Amino acid sequence: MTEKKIHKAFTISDFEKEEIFLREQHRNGYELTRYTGLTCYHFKPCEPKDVVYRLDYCGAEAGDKEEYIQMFRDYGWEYLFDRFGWSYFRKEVSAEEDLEIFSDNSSRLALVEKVIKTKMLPILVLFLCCVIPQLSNSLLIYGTGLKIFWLVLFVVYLYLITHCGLGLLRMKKKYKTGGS
Amino acid sequence: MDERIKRVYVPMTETGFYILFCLQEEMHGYNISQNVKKMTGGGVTISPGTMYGTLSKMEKDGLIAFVREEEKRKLYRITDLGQKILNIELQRIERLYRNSKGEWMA
Repeated sequence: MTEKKIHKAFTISDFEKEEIFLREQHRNGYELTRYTGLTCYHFKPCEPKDVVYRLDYCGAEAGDKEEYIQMFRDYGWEYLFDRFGWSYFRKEVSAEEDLEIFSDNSSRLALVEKVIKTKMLPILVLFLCCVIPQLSNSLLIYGTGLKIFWLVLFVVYLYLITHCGLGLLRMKKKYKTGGS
Repeated sequence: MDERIKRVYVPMTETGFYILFCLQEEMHGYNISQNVKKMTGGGVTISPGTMYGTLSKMEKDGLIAFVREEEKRKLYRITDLGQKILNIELQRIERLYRNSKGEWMA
């Protein structure tokens, strides 16, 4: 058996789905090793085990990364890598182990709010200040090629904004009202 | 005392209370977590993301202070401001407890 690559895109509001996906891979005998490009997950064959994966977003304070990782290690979490601001951790499932990296909803809410502020808002600004003006320009003056380019970009952005916006707001509501 | 700090920390979450309470002695995050587990018979868990976030926030707000580092683990201790907040919280909890037992104060 050799390394396996899977191309899969999770948007900024789907990190909980990503955790489930990685756990399923490990249960099927593939452990995550690397993550390259925008969508490429690399796995290597391993003994099939139930291992939970958890993602934290911009968790560490500036200049405090090692101490941050050490704290997770103390709790039995294996640190894998950082990717686009997300830190990847995993831990084998057992009855005594705490399998969460957050123990209250206010810290889950803080994560969602960080994602909104640093990922969702820039996308929105780009959409309003670049994609929309460029699209209207291209409809008036540019040639067919550019028209199609900006139109496709417009649709992609619109989808991302609706999908992620709704997803993040749903999570925000869930953690605010104390759901699990 | 700073009204904002008081508004944010009184009443305190269970997590916040136990962290501040434990830091009357010098400790690092995982230490606190183990202590709280013992104190509550496993009833209160503080996971690492929540622990790290709460410690950072309390340090910024001046309730606790970084003392020293030991093998990449940061040890903290309560400050005077933190102790004041903790005392307010303790009084509130004591009153709550007395009232719950029907021991009204005259």
